[in-house]
Amino acid sequence: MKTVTLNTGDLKSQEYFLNMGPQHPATHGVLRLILTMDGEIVKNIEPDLGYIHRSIEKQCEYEGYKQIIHLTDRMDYLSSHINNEAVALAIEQALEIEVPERVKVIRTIMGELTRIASHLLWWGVMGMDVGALTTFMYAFRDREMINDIMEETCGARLTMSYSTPGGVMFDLHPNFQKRVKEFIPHLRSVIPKYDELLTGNVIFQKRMKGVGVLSYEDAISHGASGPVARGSGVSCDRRIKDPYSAFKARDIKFNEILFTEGDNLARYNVRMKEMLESLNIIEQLIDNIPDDGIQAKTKALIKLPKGEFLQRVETARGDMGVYIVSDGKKNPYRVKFRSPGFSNLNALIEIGKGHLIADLVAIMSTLDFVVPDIDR
Amino acid sequence: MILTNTTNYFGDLVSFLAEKMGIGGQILAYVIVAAVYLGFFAIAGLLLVYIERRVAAFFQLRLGPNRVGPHGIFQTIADALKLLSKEIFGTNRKDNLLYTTAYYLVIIAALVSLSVIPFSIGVQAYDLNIGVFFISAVSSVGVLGILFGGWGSNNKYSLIGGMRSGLQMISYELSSGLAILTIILLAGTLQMSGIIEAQRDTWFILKGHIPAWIAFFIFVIAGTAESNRTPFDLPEGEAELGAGYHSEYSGMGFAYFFLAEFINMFIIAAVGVTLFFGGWLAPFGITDTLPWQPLWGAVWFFLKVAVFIFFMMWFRWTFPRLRIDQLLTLEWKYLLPIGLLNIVLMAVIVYYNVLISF
Amino acid sequence: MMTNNDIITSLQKSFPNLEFNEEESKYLTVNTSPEDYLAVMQNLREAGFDYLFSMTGMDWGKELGVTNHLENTQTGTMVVVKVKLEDRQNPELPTLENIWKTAHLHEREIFDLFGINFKGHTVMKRLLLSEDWEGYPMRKDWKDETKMIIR
Repeated sequence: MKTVTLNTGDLKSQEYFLNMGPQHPATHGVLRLILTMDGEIVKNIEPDLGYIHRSIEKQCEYEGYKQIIHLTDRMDYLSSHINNEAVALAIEQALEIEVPERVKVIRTIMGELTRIASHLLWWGVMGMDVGALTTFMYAFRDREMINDIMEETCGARLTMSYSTPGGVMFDLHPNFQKRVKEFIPHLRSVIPKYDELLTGNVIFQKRMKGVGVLSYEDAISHGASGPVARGSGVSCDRRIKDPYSAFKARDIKFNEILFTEGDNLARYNVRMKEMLESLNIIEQLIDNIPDDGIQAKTKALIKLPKGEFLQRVETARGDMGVYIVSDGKKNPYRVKFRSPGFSNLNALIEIGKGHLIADLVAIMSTLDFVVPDIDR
Repeated sequence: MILTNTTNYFGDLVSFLAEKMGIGGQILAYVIVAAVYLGFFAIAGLLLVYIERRVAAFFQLRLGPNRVGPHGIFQTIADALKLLSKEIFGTNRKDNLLYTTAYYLVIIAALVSLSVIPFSIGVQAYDLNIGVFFISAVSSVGVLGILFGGWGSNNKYSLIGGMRSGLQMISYELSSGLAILTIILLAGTLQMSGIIEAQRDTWFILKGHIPAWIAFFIFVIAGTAESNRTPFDLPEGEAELGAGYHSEYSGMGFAYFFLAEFINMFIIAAVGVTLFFGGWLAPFGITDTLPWQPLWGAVWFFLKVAVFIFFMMWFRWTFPRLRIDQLLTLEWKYLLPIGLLNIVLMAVIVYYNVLISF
Repeated sequence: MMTNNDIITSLQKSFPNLEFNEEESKYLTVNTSPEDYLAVMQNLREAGFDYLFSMTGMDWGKELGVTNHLENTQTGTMVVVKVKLEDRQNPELPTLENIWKTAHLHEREIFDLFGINFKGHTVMKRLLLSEDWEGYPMRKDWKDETKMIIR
């Protein structure tokens, strides 16, 4: 242990290492941070990753393109549908397939439902991390409704593998539209209650305001994306900048939520408001889902042409990129998943310094990590 | 104003047995009293855990324990049995003396504090003439236990938890002490039964005008902090520190810490009720003419305590946790100066005798 | 809006021997030598490419290298910068940490999986794998002796 003696008269003081994780309630999985502490103040953060590294990128090099999709579920399991969609879109982009509009609309609705589910889970856990235990139960109650809708159509609640190259796996369940329409007003009515419970609380506001400030320049330099970057005022929503699926095919009106403070509260507010925007998107799509098939024609064995293909989508955590290098065979030559969490973690190393350990937990929570997404 | 001629059932028991059987009888009487208190301690602790879980479930749209026994009331007993049968499992790099004395200190402090609390007319193990002072003195010993546990576990998370606890409890003891002092000015005695007797016409919360209300709020905040409950559960702070000072304890060692927390909550509520809401006195004396006075006293006392505890549980399940610097700011910059001013205000009110009474 | 030709002309002024390619993907690809790498990246950063989207370690069989995806957050233009290293034994590149902070973790990951050493990086240690791991598993010549990944 490195000993630093401060000039405090006869009193000796030294920095110490604190091992936060891989088994720690606030790291939301198996993230390990090696903290250098001075009392309760975090002096330095060194992440140690890999506790759930399954070398998905290497596995992809030995799988066919249709199989890859099932691996991506297991990365950012909270926005698994959007991950699937990203790979499907990358393959379609390479093969130059135009998918039916029904597929585009279904994918977007599912994607937005996934985003809401992810943000709901985040909100529940966010409350837990600052000590308000009740939020967790409230959020899970409402998240269950989404999971039930998913289960009915996809047969899975979390790792759905619903998108395939050229379409989606199954058609929508007959109940789908009805249940989604029930869910929208329900969530609209509970979000004000969430605000009453947590957002408006004085203690919560004091804990959040001005803590973990990520400036506009730093957000870009750290490669932050998604709600984290938008909380710092960086306009980076791929759904607007580089529309895909129904965002491209349809004229969907929604706002990109931007806050300029860059602190915990800004990131919190971005996610809370994004849920409502997602509801707006779903509302615009749910009533007119066209009926032109759920699958474009693809070959049984997909071979991508030689070249490099990059597809970026907006997951619940931010800007997710699928980069496929193909040499014309049935397996990709190299696949890289650019995960938003990985870059957001980079921001934590800087903005977490100098804060108390309790604040570090809150910052980690507003950065919204999913560890398999970081480790891949 | 020291009351010496009131009945005290425990005192009567001791003198009765001492008269009949000499010194042996006296010891037997002490043992009986201790057993009664230990039994009460265990039952109250388990019941409070059960209530906490049901209240939590109520706030969280869940059901809570509802399988073992009617409405699940035996769930906590089953849990206690499980904890009893568990292996005592901890780190082997601990400071053995501190590690093992820690939970005894915590539990003894809680148990001893109970002895001066008047549950009803004459139902009080020892009516000490400095009762309130005794409680705040003894509850400081509990801090020592938590500090010992945090230090002796040889775990950095425990250490941070223990240090936080020391910081927090020593700070908030000042405020709760000042709030108690404000009421002592009104009562003119430190004796618990005397304080209740002084409220026979009007409860202090009403008698003392605004200063009594301020003192009450300070007491609630400081009391919640002293019992280490959310929003002041920093020593445990499970999101940050795992389990804080009791991370390295298992089985009954852990259960002692756990039970002591609930008993401390009960003690805070009991002291609050005694100081501000007339203890076992019935509101407007509505049951004063009925027979079985001690029973009615107990009913009112536990009813008031239950309301108090419900509020503390309400805080716990709806508030986020404070940060350590905010916690200290709250105490040293707000509560303590307000508490000091409040005492002066109360002194003026008592001096000019502008009290409200019905 | 900056077109690909603008980027090419501005880069060719300072680096005459860069190779450009617009067929490989939908973005402009710049192939640079390890010697020019840092200067090219610095140049692009000053030209407004402020967002390092990703750094991808590559093994092209003969050469190792890095593919960088850069984005201009104002215009949305993207450019791909590729750098290839002939030396498979001791591949070395300068670090981009001082230009884009996000390079910190990305470079550690590439070091971990491909064994490319980034000179000047503050913490050049393994990130995902354990410290005592031997070899660099994302390289094409890595032997999966325990059948961990390849069935």
